[in-house]
Amino acid sequence: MTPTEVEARIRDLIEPFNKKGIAIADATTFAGDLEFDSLTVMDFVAEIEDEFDVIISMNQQAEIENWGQLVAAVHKLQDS
Amino acid sequence: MATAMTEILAPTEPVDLLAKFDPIIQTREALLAAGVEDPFNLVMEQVLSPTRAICNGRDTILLGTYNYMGMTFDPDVIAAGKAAMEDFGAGTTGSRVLNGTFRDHRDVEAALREFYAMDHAMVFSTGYQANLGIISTLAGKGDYIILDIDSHASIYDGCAMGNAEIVPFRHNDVEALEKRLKRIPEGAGKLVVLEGVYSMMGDVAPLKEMVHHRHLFQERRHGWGLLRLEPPEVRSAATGVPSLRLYRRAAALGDGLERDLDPQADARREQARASVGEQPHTAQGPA
Repeated sequence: MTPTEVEARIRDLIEPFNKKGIAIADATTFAGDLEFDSLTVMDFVAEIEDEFDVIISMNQQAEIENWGQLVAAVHKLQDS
Repeated sequence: MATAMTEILAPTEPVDLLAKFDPIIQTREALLAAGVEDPFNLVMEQVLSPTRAICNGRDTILLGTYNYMGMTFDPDVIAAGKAAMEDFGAGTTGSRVLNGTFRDHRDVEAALREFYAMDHAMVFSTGYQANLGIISTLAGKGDYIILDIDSHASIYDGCAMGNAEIVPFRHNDVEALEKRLKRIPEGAGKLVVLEGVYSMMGDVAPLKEMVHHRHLFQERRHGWGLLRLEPPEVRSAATGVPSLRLYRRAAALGDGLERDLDPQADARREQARASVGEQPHTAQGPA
């Protein structure tokens, strides 16, 4: 799957969590811009894990702050 | 390159290390200004019973002490504590593995072993220490810990201390656990961590469905003496499976306990940093 395809899929997944309909770009942060709390992060990550059949450990999550980083990380994980 | 060096060497405003506490200080001040009694300044001047104390001058019913079995004023417990102080003094002043193991520490471990019909037992001063010590020792760098998302903070701290990869799954969701186990890279060590009674929710783990994993760590601080001693379905499913459980809280003094069927248990005693580092109180022994 190309990064563009990965991004498109995650965009579908984040829809229900993006309650304020904030425009998402590479630099959009989950904690700051999207105001995700820890439970939302957990649910959102679980959706991504199931969709791509990968594991994103909490250690890896700690390194992911914005949208661009998430797409890159998932692309790398599903590729390996 | 020269530009980069200039940037690095340019004087910057000093960062106040403590500035990050400003928001919480302001929240607290606003709370107190609103006339709320300071929730972080509760002092028990006198403890009247397991369920009553004089708190900040008022006779108060204790609902938040985790004193589930009410053993803190049991005459036998008090007598054993006094005797231990008489015989051994006020504390070990040293860690268990160096010069801090008293006869009574070994005795309490033997008693717990016998009580639970297990091969090994290890006592820590608190459940927090037990989780730090055991989890961080069992699962290290490159290993995976799969844990319930609503696990106690001490479990998360133990995970972080061991540098293992931490993979949470939705609370009590057997399917979510299984899916994540399947995705863990081949050859990696796996540890599943569950609680008996979840302290924040008050519910129990579906042990029957989750218990078949090779290395299961079940945290039972809040379940000891409340759940059945050993649910039969767990016992039968766990036959031959090394499993670790932690008991504490409901006993009169704060004891953390690991018990398991694993012959390497004694090796872990020496490796658990929380065990090497802690200095138990004398009275921990006879509890």
